[in-house]
Amino acid sequence: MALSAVENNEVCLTFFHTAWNTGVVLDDLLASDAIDHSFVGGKTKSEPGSESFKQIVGMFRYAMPDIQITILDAIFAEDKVVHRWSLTGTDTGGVMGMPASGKSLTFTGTTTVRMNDEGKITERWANVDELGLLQQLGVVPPPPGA
Amino acid sequence: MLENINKAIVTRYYIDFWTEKNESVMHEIISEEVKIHFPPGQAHQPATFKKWFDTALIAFPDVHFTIHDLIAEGDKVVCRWSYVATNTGPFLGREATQLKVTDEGNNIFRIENGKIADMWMAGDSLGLLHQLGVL
Repeated sequence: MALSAVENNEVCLTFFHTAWNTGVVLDDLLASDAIDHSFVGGKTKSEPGSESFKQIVGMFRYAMPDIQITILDAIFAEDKVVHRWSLTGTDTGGVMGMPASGKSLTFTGTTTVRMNDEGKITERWANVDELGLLQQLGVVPPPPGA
Repeated sequence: MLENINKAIVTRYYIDFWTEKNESVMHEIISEEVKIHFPPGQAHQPATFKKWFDTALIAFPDVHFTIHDLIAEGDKVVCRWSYVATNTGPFLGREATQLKVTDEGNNIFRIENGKIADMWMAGDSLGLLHQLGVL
């Protein structure tokens, strides 16, 4: 049976807090054919299953082992849950294949999730401020403004 | 229902304002006190919607948005959007590239008294700059 919108949000909060803050991707909360549509970190295609979720979480936790998520806003209705968030961590492993900077980095994003009728995460779309991350690392110049 | 009214306002923002380039819609659906929340890495961060509209349409006069999803709860609306556009005019101090670009994002809007009062932008500026050959 489908969960309520409030329950859907609780599932997403548990899933993303656990994934980002501890590195554990809770397979029980993911549909077997769950798909992550985001192209963060140079990803070029989306394969169904938990592997793509493990890859993105693993990539950032490798770069920033102390990474922690803060949920800044949550909007949920029917089968959708949206979180605006920030992630903060110390770059001791190297972000996106670059050498470790040792810097504390903070970046923001917005994630939309679709829940299926069994109350499991089945699709994810995310926008991550990757350019802001690269600017903090000093590898690209700050925006020129308007 | 408030949520449906708010979804209609966000639809007008992407379709009437940006895709059909109807500038007068700006005054009907955007509050004069609107706050635009750009991520620090947003490539283009104009101070006002008027300036955003003018500079974006110099660079990408054919910009065309598609709304993929609208999610409304209380005074918030989330839109998952994409656009296609051709860079036929100067952008960020660089000459036109004639390149066709695409972007997709998840924006959050707060609606107050029938107008957009806050907008949190979340697109893919890194991808856009890659497509334009800037990075």
